[in-house]
Amino acid sequence: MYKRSRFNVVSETDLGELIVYNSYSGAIALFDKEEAEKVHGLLTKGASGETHLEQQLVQQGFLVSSEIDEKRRATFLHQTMHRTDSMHLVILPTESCNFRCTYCYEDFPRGKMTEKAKQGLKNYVQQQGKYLKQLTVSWFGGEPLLADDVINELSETFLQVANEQDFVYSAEVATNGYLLTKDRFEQLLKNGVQQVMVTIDGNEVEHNQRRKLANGEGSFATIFENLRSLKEVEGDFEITLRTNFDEESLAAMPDFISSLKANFGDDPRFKTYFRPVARWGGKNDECLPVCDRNTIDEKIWEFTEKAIEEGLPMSALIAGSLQPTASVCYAAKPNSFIIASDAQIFKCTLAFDAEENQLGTLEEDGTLNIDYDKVALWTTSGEETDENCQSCFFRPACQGNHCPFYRKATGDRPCSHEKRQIKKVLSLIAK
Amino acid sequence: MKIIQQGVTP
Repeated sequence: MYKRSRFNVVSETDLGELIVYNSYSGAIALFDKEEAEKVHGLLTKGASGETHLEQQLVQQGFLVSSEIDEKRRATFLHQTMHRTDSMHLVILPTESCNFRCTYCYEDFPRGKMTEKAKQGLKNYVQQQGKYLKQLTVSWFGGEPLLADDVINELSETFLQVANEQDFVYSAEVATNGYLLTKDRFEQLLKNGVQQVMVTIDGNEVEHNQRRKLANGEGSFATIFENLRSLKEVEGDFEITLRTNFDEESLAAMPDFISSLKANFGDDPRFKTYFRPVARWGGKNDECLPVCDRNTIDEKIWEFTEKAIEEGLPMSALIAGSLQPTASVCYAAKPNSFIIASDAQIFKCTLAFDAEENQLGTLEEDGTLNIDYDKVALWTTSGEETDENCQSCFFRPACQGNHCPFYRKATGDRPCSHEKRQIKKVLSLIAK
Repeated sequence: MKIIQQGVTP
C-alpha cells in the first residue's frame, strides 16, 4: 500500500487543474480537470499502486510506501550535506564599491584581494580538485567588477583545475551592473559564469533615489544601457533582474514592469526577481520605508505575475529553490565558505562584524585555518533545533536553514518567501 | 499528467 507523502503540496489553478509538488523528490506535476478529482482522492486516501496513474504518482514521490518513515528520510538527506565532493566558495575579489545604496549593510573596510589571498585560493582549489565532483563559485563583494582582473586570474586557475581533475565548474556574479559592459560580460561567460544578478530598483527616479554612485550621482542610465547591450551576446545564460521594493516604490512598479517588457520582453534570458528591502544591518536601517510582512507576501508574487503576463519570465532561482536542499543557505552548508579579499574566512555575507562569523584565514599555501566550533554553530541551528521545522512540508528543501543568521538574530523561524506563498508560486510555475 | 519538474531521489 501507498500513502500520500508528508512533503506534498496540492493546489488548484483557476482552470480547475491540480498542481502537485513534493519537496523531497522536487517533482511538480499538473493534472487536467478530468484527472484532478481522481488524483485528489488518491493523494488523500492512499492507493494500492496497481493502476498506471498510481504508479506515476509513486514514481514522482507523491505517493510513498506506507512503511516509509519520511522524517527519517529527511534526517538522512540532511546528513548528506556533509559530502565533501561538492564545494561552494563565495569569493570577494574586492570589498570596495562604486555605489552607496540606501539599504546597503556593508561598510567596505577591505579593498581589493591581496596577492596572498589569491595565491591561497589557487593552491586550495588545486589541492582540493582531486576530491571534487563539483565546484561552484559565487563572485560577490563589494562590487566584484571593480576587480575583474582578479576574477579573470582566479577563473583561469579554476577552469584549468576543473579540466585536469574532471569536475564540473560553474559560477555566478552579483553586480550592480554599472561596469557590466558587453566586453566584460563576454569575458565572464568565458570564465564559466552562467548567471549574473543585476539590481535595478525601478524606473530612473525610484532607482536613482536608492542606488546612487559613491559621488551621489544616479546610476540608472548606465546600467540600463549596459543591460540592453547584453541582448546582442549569444549563449545560454540568465540575467537575473533583481528589484528590491519598499513602501515608497510600490506604486511605480507596474510602469517599471512595462518598461522591462519594452526593453527585454523579446529575450527570455532576462528574468525577474522581486524582493523586499529589509533592515539588513546598514546605517540607514531605521529610516528605510520597509513593507510589512503581509504586503511583502502579496507584492513579491503580484509583481512576478504581472511580469509573466507581460512576457517576462521569473528567475530560475525560484523554481530551483523548491528542489531538495536548494533553499539551504550556504552559511549552513558544511562545505561552503566565504573567502574575503584579505583571506579571512566567513560563513554569512550579512554579518561580517559578528565574531561567530569570523571562522579563520586561508593561508598562502592553501591551508584553511578554521575554527570548526564556529562552523558547527552555523550548520547545526536548523531543523534539529525546531520541532515545527521537523514536521513541515518544506523540510527537505530548506532543513530549517534558509537563513541561520535570521534565526539567530530574531529567534524566529526563517521561512523562505517561496515557502510562505507556496501555492501562489506553484501556480506561477505552471503558467 | 504533465510533468513540469521530474521527481528524483535527491
